[in-house]
Amino acid sequence: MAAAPSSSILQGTLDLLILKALAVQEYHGLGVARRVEQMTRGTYRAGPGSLFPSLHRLERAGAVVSSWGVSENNRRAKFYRITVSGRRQLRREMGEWSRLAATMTHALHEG
Amino acid sequence: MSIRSRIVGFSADVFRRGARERELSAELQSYLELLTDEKMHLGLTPAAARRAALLEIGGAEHAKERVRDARSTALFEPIARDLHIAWRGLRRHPGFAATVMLTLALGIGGTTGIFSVVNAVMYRELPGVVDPGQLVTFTRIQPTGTYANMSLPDYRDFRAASKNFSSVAAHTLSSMSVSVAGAAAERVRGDLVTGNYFGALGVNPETGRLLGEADDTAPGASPVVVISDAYWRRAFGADVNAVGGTLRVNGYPFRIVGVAMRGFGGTRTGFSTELWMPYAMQRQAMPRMSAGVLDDRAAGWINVFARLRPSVSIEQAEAENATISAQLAATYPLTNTGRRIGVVPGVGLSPDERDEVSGVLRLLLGAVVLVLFVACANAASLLLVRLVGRQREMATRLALGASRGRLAAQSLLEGAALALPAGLLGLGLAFLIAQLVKAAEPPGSLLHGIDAPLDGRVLAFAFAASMLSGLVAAVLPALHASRVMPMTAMKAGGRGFARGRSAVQDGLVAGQVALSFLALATAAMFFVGFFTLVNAPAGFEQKNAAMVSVDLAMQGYPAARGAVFQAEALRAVRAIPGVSAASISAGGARVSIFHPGEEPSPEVFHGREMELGTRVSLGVVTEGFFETLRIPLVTGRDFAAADRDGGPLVAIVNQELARRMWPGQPAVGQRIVWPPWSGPQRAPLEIIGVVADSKMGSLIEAVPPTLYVPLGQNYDGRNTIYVHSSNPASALRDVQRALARLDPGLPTYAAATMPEYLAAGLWQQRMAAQWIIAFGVTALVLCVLGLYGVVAHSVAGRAGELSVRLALGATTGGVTRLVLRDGVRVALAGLAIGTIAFALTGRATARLVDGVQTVGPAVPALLALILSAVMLLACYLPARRAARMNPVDALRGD
Repeated sequence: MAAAPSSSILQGTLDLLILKALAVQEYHGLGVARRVEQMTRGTYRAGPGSLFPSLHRLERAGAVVSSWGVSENNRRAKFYRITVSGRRQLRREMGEWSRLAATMTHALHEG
Repeated sequence: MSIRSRIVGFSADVFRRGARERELSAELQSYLELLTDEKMHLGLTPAAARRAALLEIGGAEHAKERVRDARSTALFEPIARDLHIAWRGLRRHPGFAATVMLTLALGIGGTTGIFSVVNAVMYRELPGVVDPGQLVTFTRIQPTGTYANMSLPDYRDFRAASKNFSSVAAHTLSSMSVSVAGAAAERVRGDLVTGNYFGALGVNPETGRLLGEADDTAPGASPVVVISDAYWRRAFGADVNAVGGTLRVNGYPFRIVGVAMRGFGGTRTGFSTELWMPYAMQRQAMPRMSAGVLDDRAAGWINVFARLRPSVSIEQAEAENATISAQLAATYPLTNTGRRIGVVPGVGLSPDERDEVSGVLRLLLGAVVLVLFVACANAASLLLVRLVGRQREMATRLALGASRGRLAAQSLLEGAALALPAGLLGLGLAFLIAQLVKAAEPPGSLLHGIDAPLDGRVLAFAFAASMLSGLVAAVLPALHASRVMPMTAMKAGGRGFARGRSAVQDGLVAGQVALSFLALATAAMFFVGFFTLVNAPAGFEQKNAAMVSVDLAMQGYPAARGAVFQAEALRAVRAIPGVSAASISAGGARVSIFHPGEEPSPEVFHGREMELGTRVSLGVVTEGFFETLRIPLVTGRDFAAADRDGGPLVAIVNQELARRMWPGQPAVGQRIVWPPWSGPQRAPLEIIGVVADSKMGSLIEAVPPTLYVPLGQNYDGRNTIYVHSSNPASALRDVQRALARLDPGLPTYAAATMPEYLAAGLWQQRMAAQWIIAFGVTALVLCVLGLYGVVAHSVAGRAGELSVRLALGATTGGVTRLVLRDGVRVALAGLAIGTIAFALTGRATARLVDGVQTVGPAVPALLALILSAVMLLACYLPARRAARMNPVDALRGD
């Protein structure tokens, strides 16, 4: 992981990124990891040790659901799909994140 | 996440953990394969791709562990582990564990036992009754007070008009003289009931049928009776052929139509009804009632209960009853003006009785809760003592990375691990206490013979009490555990010059002393209260008298024959050796009297008797009554055998009544009017004497204004025979034998010596005194043990310091004083707090039981002195041991 989420501020961001990835289409675990990597231009590489806990946590919270399916190259894989409540959570957290980012930027550059 | 999905998720985790683990492995496996595919796509050989993929995943187990952590059960697994550790730790110290458990069990058991009695009395589920929670009782509320009874016409109107009840039923409990096939008559409790009585309760027959509406029609038309299962077994040996047979009630034949469900004994707490017959049979079953009582709106003699329709509230029912009451008052102003019918939840006890019982029970519950607190404080200080000994262990665990939260959690779990077995032990104790209460209460006490089963509610209470006490006992040690400083603890290691005692422990001991003092002072207050009542001048003979009752009317004696029997009985009883005086009395009613010319018209009086005139207690007595009970005659004369029907009507008043009716004037020679409630008018009565005040009815209440009239002019067949004898117990047996010689078939009842009779009337006061003493002593024992333990432990912790002092030349006395000082300071602080607490609560607590007053400062002061002495001893023993130890041994052993 090049820039692993080191501090607690970033711990929730993986969940947010996963939701964002799943908002477009459903992915299996590796697909989610690759999509997140792509979205963050390679800075955020989630290994299974952080990816799966996040996915399972989201599933328990009802933000995503999973089902077994077949991958593009005919492998059995578990696919994750975002739910209505997951979309709600995504919208809410995106808003919070934008506000936080704006505040931080403002504070760090103009304070 | 919603609560529901949380629960579903959690239970899914627990029950499908195996399946989930397999699925997780499968998912990781699939991830690995996809990753390998990806690497191969980039041009690696299959073997190299797989190696690279494995490397990138970095240990599947690590990933799995983190997924598990993210799942809910991860939260509970360490708890199970801690519980296991706690349990193992306790098993290694069985003596310690047993002490804490027993301490908690005492508190939990006491509380649960008293709660089971409260539960039985206040929330009793009537055996055989369907859905008792929907049952309510009607009360009659008038300007003069609240009454439990109503009239049948009012009942019929409410039943017809109210829409909030699925049924409205009534019953009247009465003693009846019952005989089967020529056997001697037995006095049993019977209920006159409305036809819908059994239907309203949902009671089924054991065999035969129960009563229905068709049985309660024309007066006298259907002489049928339902008997209780208990009576069926006792009188008929559970013979099915008893149904269809005949039973004589007050000499009148009734056909037995059925047996009520096993366990059902009517709706009245403390009384087991054995017979039920329709109201239409009132003349035969309750001959004493005045003629025409079935249709008399002024007669208050039936108890009404009703079953609420589902989803109807008590308030709605009350509102509707108020409307109907207002309509009745408009239609029947003479009887119903100002009369309202209230609704109270449940059946069994009247609101008055509920107040009477709940005062005592609240008090006892309060007392046992104090004991529970003392037990918790005690267990807490024991746990703390143990914790101090384990500081090094705690410090090690902290240093190895255990979180402070985990250490605190473990301490709390230790509390739970101790409290649960303690709760089980406590249940045994609770059962014992409930049995004791049941056995100890004499007839007349509302708690007599009650069944206090350990039902679901009691079990839930015991569980809650256990968990709560475990938590309370463990919370201070838990806080303490989370504050262990690894460095200091490792260095001192709980030995050397560490004090081994904390302010927290001092606080706990002081708290125990305070609570014990409060419990004991309260107990002393009720004890003093009880003896004050028993020994207060009551104005009549309280030792050398005895009494027994008979009911001639019920036995079928007409008035003339009854009067002959009364005269013969008096002669026979007076002839018994040792009996110095004897008398027969009747009644005990309350009536209204007037100055001549002030009496209302008969119709008005019949309708609102209780609101008019001067209300007095009525004593119908023969000559010799005042002599028998040693009530001094102040002026005038006693009744004489010549005061009979046909002679001028006479009466005697007590001083209280004389003061009220003729203040400042002589009462003898005055006249009063005592109108009969129904029937022909009565001529004015002449006062022939004044007697001293006495509290015959109740030692608690103020002396009631009392009117005595001669039995010879006011025949009544329900009699109590009083005798005065230096040996009342043996005289009582002789009287019963003499009565049996006069009429072998006549049942006697309520035989008692005067002290027994008076004690039964003071059951609440006696019960409060006895039980609170027991609880107070328990609290004291716990508290002394706690104090002893803490001082002993502190001495052990200071062994090194003390031995250095001894080695440097401190005297034995000096060391003893040094140790004593700490313990005594704590005990005195506790006593001070306890005294303040008692001063603050005593007055309010005393009010819970009638007739008990707060005590002056002497009683608490004496108690404080005794407690101080006991505390001193508890501190002295370990102190002396400390002073006597050999300094060299102590230092070496350390």
